[in-house]
Amino acid sequence: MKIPYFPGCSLKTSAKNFEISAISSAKVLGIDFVEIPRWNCCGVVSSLSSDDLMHHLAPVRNFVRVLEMNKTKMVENEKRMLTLCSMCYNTLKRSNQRVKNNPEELESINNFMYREEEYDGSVEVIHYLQLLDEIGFSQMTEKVKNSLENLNVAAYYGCMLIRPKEVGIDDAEEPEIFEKFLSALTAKPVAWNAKKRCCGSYLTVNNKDVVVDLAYGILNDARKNGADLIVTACPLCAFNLDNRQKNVLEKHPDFKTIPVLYFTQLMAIAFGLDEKSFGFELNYIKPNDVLKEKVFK
Amino acid sequence: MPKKIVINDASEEFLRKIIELSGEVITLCDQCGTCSGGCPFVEEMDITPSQLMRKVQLGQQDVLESKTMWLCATCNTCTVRCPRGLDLSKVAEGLRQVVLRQAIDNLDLNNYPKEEIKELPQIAIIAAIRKLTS
Amino acid sequence: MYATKLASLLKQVKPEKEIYIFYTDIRAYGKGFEEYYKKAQTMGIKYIRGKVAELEENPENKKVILRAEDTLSRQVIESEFDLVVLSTGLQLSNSSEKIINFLKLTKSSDGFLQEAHPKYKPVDTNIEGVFIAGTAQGPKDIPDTVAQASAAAARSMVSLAQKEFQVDPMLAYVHPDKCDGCGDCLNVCPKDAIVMNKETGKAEVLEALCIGCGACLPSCSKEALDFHGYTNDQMYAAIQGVLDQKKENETRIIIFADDTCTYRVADAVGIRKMKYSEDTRIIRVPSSSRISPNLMLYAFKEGADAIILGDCVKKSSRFPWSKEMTEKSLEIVNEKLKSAGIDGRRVVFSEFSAGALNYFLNIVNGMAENLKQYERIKETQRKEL
Ligand code: SF4
Ligand code: SF4
Ligand code: SF4
Ligand code: SF4
Repeated sequence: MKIPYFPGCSLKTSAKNFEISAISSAKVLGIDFVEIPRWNCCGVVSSLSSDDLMHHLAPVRNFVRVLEMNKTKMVENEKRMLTLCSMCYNTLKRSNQRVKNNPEELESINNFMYREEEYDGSVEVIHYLQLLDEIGFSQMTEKVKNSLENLNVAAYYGCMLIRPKEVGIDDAEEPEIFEKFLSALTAKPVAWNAKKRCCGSYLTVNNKDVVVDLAYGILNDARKNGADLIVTACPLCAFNLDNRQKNVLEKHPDFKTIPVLYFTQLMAIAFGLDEKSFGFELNYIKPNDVLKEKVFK
Repeated sequence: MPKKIVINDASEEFLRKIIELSGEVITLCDQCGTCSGGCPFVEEMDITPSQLMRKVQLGQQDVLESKTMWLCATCNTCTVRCPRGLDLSKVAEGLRQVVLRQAIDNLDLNNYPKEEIKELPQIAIIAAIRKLTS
Repeated sequence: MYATKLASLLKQVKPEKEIYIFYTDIRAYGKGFEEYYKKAQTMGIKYIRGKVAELEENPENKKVILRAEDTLSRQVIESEFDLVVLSTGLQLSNSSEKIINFLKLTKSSDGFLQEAHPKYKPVDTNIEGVFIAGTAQGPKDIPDTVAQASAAAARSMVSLAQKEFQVDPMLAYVHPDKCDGCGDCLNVCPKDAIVMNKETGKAEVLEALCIGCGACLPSCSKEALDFHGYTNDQMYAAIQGVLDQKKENETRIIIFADDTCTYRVADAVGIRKMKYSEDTRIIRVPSSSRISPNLMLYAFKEGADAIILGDCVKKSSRFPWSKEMTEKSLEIVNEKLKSAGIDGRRVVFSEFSAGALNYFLNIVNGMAENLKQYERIKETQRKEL
């Protein structure tokens, strides 16, 4: 299956490990990510004010690219746009919903980018977890080479995957898609409190302390509930939960670190791919020890 | 903060403006406090999210001096819980816009050590700039 | 209030328990309620004005961590409790569904049973002889339930005391001489009011069940089904009447206006002297579904240029099925118009509410405007119908 894929800035920089593990593990399932040519910034963080149309331009331009891909037969009749980063997913999806529900706004955007093809609202933004769910998580189970049955994993949803309701890929208060994913990969999902608590997002830039406190709370909750590691789908969450553990340790010397992985890294591990596609060099807290103990015995 | 609440044309106008910018029927808020109870940043805020709503309801412009709207990270925890279906994150955005549109920024990257900025992922910096600067 | 009650009972037997009640608003509206609330406060029960935002389990001691804002002090409470009791709202019980379906009662948008009129008929339902009381109609306490139940009992006594039961005269009936017993009408009535009389072999309308929508009339191809007050003969005559004086170059729009909504909005428009197309003629009907395809085609044959079928908005209609039934008739009419080469957009169904005057004007004037653009219907086309 060939599907238009939107990487976004993080997957080419701080989250290369997210991209490489996703693409290589998808191949195992017969999914081919076709990177959208000339993609641009998703517009990061959805513009919320009612009169700010300008910031929805960036998403719409990306949708036009997907239409072009269909025209030039890079993909066969596939108007779904696949995202990995939850922030991109959220921003793109919200913009798409907004212009779909407001034809006049879409018209002004179309008029403004008069040199581009018209956007007709036909693209659908989806997250990789949704695609996996649609194909059937059980397909993954068949491909598992390294059993994860001893691994207790805390699935961290954060905000962007499940809120607001119109955008979320699952229930906003009781999501379970991530847990289903984990079970299908033979891992043991742990029940914990902080799975949908905000990591502090971009406040990590100017309110580092706040984010460090939040991370401390989230990581501790995972530990206390018996998790060996945490998985996430967002490069910003990953930074706040993984890299910020350095700062957590400065503040709380007795803190016990916990690895934070992208869910696709866990797929690559379970599918028995070679280490290059794990991309652990970009993980701040290395998962090697716990994996050695619980997976690669 | 001033002790007296003054209701006049200016306060009505302020409320109208925020309603327009946010697209939210702010007068619907019944001050149940659900938003504040679950807000991950409430401890850092000088006024709680529900208090912010109250101040806007009454058109009190001193709300613009509060930190609360700058700390709201649009996590939408309150959005999905508000019994009145209000999206507080949009109200916070409306308030930020009022300030930002006067070309007053809430973030200056020069104030932070270079090494720290370098550590940050691109997504964090762009998001912060988008939200906190004009 | 029931949270206050349970808390008071517990506090009475175990005064050492620390009890907190989180609330959004205290509405102690009944007699003695305020005193009850005060008594609970005297006993030491604490009231916190704030809706609980989050509950979590402390993984270590298994207690419940609760987060809420005390909106009065504007501080967030985060504390552990041994037990959290949810004061959930009341819903209609599942088993009520059975009775509702059996008796064909209607529910209001809050999920409880709908009374016939919120002010004047608070214990009646829209089915004669069926009354409601208590929490079937909406959440209420014991004294209110008893009061309402007494009223319902009294209302039913009125029905029982009569030797004869009087029903609204505007109902469907069958002309036995025209009915051939084909049975086409039997499953049409949403109230199951039409039955086959085994002895006579003819259909019969059970007057106690029929609520007078007229939706069954189009189902009888022999026009043996009829309606008191709006008989087939009367309808044909009314149509002829409004088209009688149509001149050569004039157009005529017929509005079949349902009694409850469309007719009222048209009336209000008239009282306010608001202007709408002079080509309009209004015919009052019990509901739009009463108008059979035959009647509509007859109207076109006799010179009508457009038909608007007006009915109440489905959600608040006495006859919520009317829209669908009318649309079925519309399909048949459209077929016929098409084969005669007449534009199908000349017949529309529209929902009106009695207060939406401008909407009414828009629909009517919009149709008048449109008619100018369509080709005029030729006499030969009319004959084909
Ligand atoms: S949750 Fe909604 S209604 Fe309640 S205080 Fe917050 S904004 Fe107001
Ligand atoms: S959207 Fe803003 S106010 Fe609401 S819970 Fe999140 S940070 Fe707090
Ligand atoms: S459809 Fe008409 S003719 Fe047939 S049984 Fe009913 S009333 Fe009689
Ligand atoms: S008028 Fe309505 S309720 Fe009466 S028999 Fe006909 S369909 Fe049934």
